[in-house]
Amino acid sequence: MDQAQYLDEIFKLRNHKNIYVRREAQIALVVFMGWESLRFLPYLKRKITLWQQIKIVEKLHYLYPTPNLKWLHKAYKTDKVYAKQLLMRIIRKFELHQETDYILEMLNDENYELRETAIYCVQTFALPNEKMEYVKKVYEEGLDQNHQILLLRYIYDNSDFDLDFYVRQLYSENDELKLSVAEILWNNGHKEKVQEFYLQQYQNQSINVG
Amino acid sequence: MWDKVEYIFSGDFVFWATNYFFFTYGLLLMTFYLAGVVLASRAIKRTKQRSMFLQVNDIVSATDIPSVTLVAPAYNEGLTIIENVKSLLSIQYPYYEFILVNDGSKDDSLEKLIKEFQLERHDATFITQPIPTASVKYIYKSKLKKYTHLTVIDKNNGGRADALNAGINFATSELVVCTDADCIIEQDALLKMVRPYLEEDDKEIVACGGGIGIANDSVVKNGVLKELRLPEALVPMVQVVEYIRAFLLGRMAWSEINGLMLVSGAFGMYPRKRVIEVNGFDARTVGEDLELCIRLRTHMENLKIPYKVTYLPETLCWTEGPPDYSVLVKQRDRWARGLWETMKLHRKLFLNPKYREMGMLYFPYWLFFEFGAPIVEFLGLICIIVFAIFGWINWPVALLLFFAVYLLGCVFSSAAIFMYVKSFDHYNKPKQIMELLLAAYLEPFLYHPVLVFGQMKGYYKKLFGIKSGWGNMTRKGFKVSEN
Repeated sequence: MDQAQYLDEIFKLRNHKNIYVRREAQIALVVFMGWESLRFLPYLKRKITLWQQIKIVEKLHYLYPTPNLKWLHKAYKTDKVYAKQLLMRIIRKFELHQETDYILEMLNDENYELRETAIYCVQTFALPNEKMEYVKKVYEEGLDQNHQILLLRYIYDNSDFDLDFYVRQLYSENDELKLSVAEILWNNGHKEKVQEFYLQQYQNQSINVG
Repeated sequence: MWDKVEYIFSGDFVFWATNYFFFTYGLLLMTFYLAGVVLASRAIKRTKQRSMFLQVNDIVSATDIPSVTLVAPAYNEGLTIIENVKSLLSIQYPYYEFILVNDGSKDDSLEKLIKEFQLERHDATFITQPIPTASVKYIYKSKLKKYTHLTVIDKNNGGRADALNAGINFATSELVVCTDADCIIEQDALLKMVRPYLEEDDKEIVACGGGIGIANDSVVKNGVLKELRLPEALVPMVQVVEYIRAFLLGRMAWSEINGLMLVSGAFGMYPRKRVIEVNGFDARTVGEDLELCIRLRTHMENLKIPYKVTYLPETLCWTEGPPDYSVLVKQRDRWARGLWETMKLHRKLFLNPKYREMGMLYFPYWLFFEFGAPIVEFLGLICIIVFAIFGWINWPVALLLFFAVYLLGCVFSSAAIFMYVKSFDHYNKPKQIMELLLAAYLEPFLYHPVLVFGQMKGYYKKLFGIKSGWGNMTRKGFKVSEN
């Protein structure tokens, strides 16, 4: 019904204690203000649920398909996890290649949820080599095995085959990751590297026969 | 002083102490049930309200919703495996994978699956196993485009928990749903189950369960429940009432105060990350669903992360209940052993303030009123016999008390049936409601004593170290409609 004159009233309800009231208020802000509504993200006091994030991204995409990066950059100031997740989802949905640094920055954040969203969002983009090197570095620093496995798949699917990188990972500490790396090497014609690694494990052991 | 000692060992003291014990126990149990009715009705109202704000149609068209993998173990289910898999493959969800784990079946299940779904064998040498399981032989993927979301894991036998762990290892989604291959899941069940995760606020959802219904004698077509009928035999019929009461009153009530300790193994959704963190299902117990839920809760308490175990009142999964007394006894024997093992494994929680409400209330409740109830009932029967022999029973009062308790039980069952009928349209014909009520009123005489026998049998086995596994659960299968 487009009752934009009530914007001030709606604005007051954006942090309402009732989840449904604040949800509708936030959606209304997006509908009326579009990209400008993102500037309020740093000041939100309550968590934006996943569903709320999905709805905001959908509304923005449907009603305001042309990105206005000014407001997006202002929203980057937020320190709230849920707001950062929302921003990454917006970057993903609008395929904002120029903004991928924001997602990359979150790849090695201490917060598990943020890293998870960042990995999910980065998968939409094919990154240039220098950025992929950064992703590899994040992988090697490895905050969490689950995420390392996801990153490994992403690196494998989206970059040129880097033999040195994979061989290096084969000699890392984590057995689960080694197994995944071994599979990549094995399926890409480097069986000898896997066999070499396998045999060197028994190098220092004497085998008694008979 | 000697008078006091003499009194303690006298018949009088034993008589009054026993009476007071059973009276207090019964009174406490009734209080819990009454509180359960109040909490459950509030929880159902709240769930309905939530579903109005987040409709299934909105979820199905949304992007960015969490991916879900359904894991179903199968052991020697060759007779029905194709229909069951087709049924589970037809579930609606935008980002959905289905993993069937063939847990070392000795029948022709795998051959049938390979033929029907044109499965292609893949090497399993490099699969990662964050949770250790029995060795995986091969991975199978369908060559047919319409079944790209199907994976079959062929592994050596390790039991249900082990098979579920193998599926969880292989899954790559955020959420995993654990079920059984012979369950019929409602088409929109996952869309409904994912709701609490989408609306997750300041508390992380570590497990979500859905109602489970008994569908003996119902008609199934193409793996979908076509016509829900009430079972013809008494045993499964009473189970319909029992499940309605347990899921609607019990679990919804506990869910309302975040005290739910059990999400049924037949249909439960978990974040994969958390399940892996706690090392999956415990293959050492036959009550792996209860054990996992308690371990997840304990894990979150240790991490000091706010969490919630939630339940949806609507029946989302249909299963075939034991058709007769013999199978029922086997099932309850196994459940009792599972409960014993889980209580023992987590005994450190008992009255442990470190685990807050779980240690101080929920776990003691399970110990006294879930684990303890069959023992108390059994002891009660012995006491009645002994007291009758000694002539200590005031029969008119005893009969009045018996009828009062019986009527209260009937009131709780009737309340559960009416709450269910009012909220959902599964059993809405007057004849069905009458049959359900009749089953509820007969339950204490024709069903409950067998239940207690099964449970005591399980405890007896644990007490004397008699080894027993899952036991053979003979099933008749659903009625399959050809038209």
